[in-house]
Amino acid sequence: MKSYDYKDLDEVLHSRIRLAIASILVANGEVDFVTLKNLVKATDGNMNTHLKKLEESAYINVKKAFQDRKPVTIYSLTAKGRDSFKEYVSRLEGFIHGK
Amino acid sequence: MKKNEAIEELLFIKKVIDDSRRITRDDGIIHIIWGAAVSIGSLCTWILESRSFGNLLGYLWGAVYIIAFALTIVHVNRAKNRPHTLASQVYGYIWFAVGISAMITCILGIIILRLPLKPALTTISILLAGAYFVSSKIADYKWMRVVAAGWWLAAMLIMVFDESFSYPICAGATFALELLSGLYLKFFVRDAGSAS
Repeated sequence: MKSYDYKDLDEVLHSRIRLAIASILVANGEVDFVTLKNLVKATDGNMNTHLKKLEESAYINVKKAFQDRKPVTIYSLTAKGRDSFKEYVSRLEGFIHGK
Repeated sequence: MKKNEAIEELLFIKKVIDDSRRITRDDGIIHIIWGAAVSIGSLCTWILESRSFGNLLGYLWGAVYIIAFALTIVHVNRAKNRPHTLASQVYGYIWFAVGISAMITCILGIIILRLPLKPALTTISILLAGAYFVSSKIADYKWMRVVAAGWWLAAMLIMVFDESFSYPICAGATFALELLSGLYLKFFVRDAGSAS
């Protein structure tokens, strides 16, 4: 059985909030900031910190749009972010199944 | 990290994904508006037809649609903080498409062109069944599959029974499956996206 080391896991996704953000974006395609914040149940400041980290790692795309004449910030996963999420999940599964 | 921590991590991802799919924020109001309007309209149609006042049906349904439409527009304009997610957009598109299809069948088909009632109401019931079934998956509302089954059953009943029963069946189905679904969404379903 391959040994399981937490260092094998993606450092960017190995945080509850960032993993939650990535999971929501995987399931929903694109999500606005307020919805994301309500789902993750984090504060604005906390969300901004983690979103910035994901953005700097090129895991998420950010775009500004208008909804009901109000500005909204919409997030989605990049191809790199999606691949990293898949890799993260398959590493966890691999560990559970002893691969 | 231990094996059970990896399991816990995967369960966490699953829970977050499942919760995020319940953010359609369908507050049920539109189901209540159309459920009430169509069930009252269907019941009135049955009464008017049985008393030979069939010539008033155009006015009746014209009034039903204008009132329901006006209330729908007021509600949509008042709805704030709608979530911008792919799931909620698909949910909205499905109901918009079904609403338009049902209205074309009703207004152009039944009222203006006087097409046969049974196939028209059967088509609308099947459209609603499909919309509820797909919505149950998008929003992760398992109870909506029961509503979908109810609409399929209503479609079969409309096909099987004589045309004179089509409107009472439609009224009953709209009341039980549309109005009550709306009330359930409004008062009992709390979406995961609500601020806690």
